[in-house]
Amino acid sequence: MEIVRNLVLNLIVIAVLAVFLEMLLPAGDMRRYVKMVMGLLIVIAVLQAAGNLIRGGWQLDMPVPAQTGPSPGAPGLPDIMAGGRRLAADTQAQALEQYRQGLALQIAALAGMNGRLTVREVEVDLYGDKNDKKFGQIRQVQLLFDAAPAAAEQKNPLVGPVKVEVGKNAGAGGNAVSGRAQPPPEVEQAARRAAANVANFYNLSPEQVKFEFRTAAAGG
Amino acid sequence: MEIMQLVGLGLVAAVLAVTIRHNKPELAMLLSVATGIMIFLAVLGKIGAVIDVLKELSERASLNMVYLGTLLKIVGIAYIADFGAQICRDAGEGAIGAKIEFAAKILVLVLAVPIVAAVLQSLLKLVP
Repeated sequence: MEIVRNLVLNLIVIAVLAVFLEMLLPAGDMRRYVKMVMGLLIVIAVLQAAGNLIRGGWQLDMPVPAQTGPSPGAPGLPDIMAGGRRLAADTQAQALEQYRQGLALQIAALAGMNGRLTVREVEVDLYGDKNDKKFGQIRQVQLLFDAAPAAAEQKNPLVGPVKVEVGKNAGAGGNAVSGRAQPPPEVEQAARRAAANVANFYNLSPEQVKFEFRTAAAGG
Repeated sequence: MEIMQLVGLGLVAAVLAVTIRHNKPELAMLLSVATGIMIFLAVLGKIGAVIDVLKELSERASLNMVYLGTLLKIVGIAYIADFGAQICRDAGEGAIGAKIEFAAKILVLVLAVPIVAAVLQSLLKLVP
């Protein structure tokens, strides 16, 4: 605002100067020539001022909006700005979470393309620090497969594999135990290939894509 | 009342010039030149005050003083050329007066060249 005010002031002074100089001019034929030079001078002054304005100086010069007095019931300027920052952070976190869920679905679909594997869960870990230059990139992917081959599940999908460990507390849940499991070698090989595919697809290092097998838990 | 003195000087010089023009036209011309110089010297001090005001105005408008100096030079050239051309016409040499004005126009345009260049430079700066 200050620079616009200066621009208007300068233009007023230049106009006064031009009128003053015009009165000094001789009355003869030379008057037209001197007026032309005066016009050029005014054009220079206006262009210089307009150039400063166009180059964005007015944006830097704009003061922080000042509030002379808090109106009753209205939040103060710091509160409004803090609220805006919180809103921006929340929106960014929501966007990051949606992106993470979308990535998990994509990876699950990609890993499940192998018919021998059943993907139970995909956990995607992203860089969440805004100041980090890797913000939003994938830090790690954890694939969770069913230990049993998918073909076996298709034969009897309602009953999961039962693992009985004698002498150990099976817990209140009954006979199903969830935990790490040792899959058949061909299933493990397929999981390794699926992890490599995911790493290649998302341009990750093989260490960033991990997988493990779980037996089916009761009720889940 | 300075203006009365100047007007009186001018009238006396005019009457004298008309009187002697028939017999001594060259003296009449010299008389008019001398009168013009005297009037110019009489108001020279006042012009200084006007120029000071112009400088102050241009400083307030953030106008480069080089431009103002150029403009004042041009105004001076115009006045001197006009003065000389009128004397030549009074002496019956209108052609010489026209040449003086022509030379003055050329000098004014030469002095205006840096200003034209500055205008172009300012326009080019506006182009991103």
